[in-house]
Amino acid sequence: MNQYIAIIQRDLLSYYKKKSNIIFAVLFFLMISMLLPFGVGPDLKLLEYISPGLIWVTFFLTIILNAPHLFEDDFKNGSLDQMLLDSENIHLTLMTKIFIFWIAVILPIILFIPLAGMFMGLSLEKILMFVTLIISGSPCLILITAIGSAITIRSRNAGVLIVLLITPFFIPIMIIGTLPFIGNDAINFDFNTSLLLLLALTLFSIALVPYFVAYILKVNNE
Amino acid sequence: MRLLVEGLRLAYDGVAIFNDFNLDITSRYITVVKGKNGSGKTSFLRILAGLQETDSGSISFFDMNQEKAFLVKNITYLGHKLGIKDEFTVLENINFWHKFYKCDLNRDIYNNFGLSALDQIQVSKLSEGQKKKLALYRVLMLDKLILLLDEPLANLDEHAESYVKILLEDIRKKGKIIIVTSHSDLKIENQLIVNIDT
Repeated sequence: MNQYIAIIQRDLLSYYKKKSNIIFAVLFFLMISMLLPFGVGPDLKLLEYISPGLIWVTFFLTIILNAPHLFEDDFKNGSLDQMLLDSENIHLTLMTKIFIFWIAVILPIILFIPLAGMFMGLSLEKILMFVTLIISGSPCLILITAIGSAITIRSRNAGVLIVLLITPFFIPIMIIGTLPFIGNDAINFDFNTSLLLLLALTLFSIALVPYFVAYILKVNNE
Repeated sequence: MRLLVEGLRLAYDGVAIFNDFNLDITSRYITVVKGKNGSGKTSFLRILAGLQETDSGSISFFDMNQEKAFLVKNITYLGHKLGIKDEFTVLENINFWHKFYKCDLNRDIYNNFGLSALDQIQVSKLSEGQKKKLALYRVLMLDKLILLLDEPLANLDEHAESYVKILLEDIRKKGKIIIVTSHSDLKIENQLIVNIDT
């Protein structure tokens, strides 16, 4: 248990020391959220209809932008060797690191989603629904991102490669996350169905992804 | 304790770095692996540490008192990448290791490396030699059975160099296996020089 507490403390301190990255991520998210309504035009009904999808895409782009930070530092400074060699359980160690990434980088963005929703004319009820869906689906997004980050750890253009690698996996999550906000009487896909599906995907990712990430990191670290 | 390397082969892009490499390592000597740049010294240590796969060959650990699985988990490795966080202070790095490895401050090593005077300084502001001392503190404070050190004396000043040599000899006397790599003669007591080029 000590090891995981040590990693939590170290990673939180590291993100705190590099807080400009987090501030930049939040500002990027808010700037794009502010810009998009200008592109849609004066039709407020249309904006409200498409805004959940727009916020998902903005959220996705912000995650992608920060994805290389997940393992890059540890690989470059050699801490990854220590983790692979000395961790009591490498899967739990990686899960801890991914969890701290979610807390330090993703949670601050989620906190600003209500503001982004207001820019896009979403009602308070819809904002609350949306935030709930993002909270339940974002761990799954981060875990998928972790796979991309592990694959591209040696790459100079990690950001671009991650986009190409993981975008296809984000599509189903975004569809599930936006369906409750659009007219879908034919398939009757309500908020609860969406929430349960996103939670299921998150739990499924938590169970499997650390094993993939550990294997990829081990191979890529050779 | 004994570590047996048999028929090790490693190739990058079809070019063999070493081929049919055999070595019998015991704690009677400090094993110094020498070789030219690119001769595979670092790769050899990483293979022993389990951080890299080989094309063929085997590595066996023997000890009368310990299980093999225990020995494999009892390896410490220091490579070219020192495993220290640049944005942290010296003390923040050390505190992390103490918690991660569940061990206490080793005052002897800490003071002899002069780390007490540096503990509030950010690592990015240290010289290469000071960074090396900090990284060496991690591997030398751990009570592991097998030490794999990649060029441990590079960048060190005279005092630190002789101190590390004394420490390594003390560790060897406790029956532990030490393997270091170097370009040049390290002039360590009880060393067994293995040339990886031949």
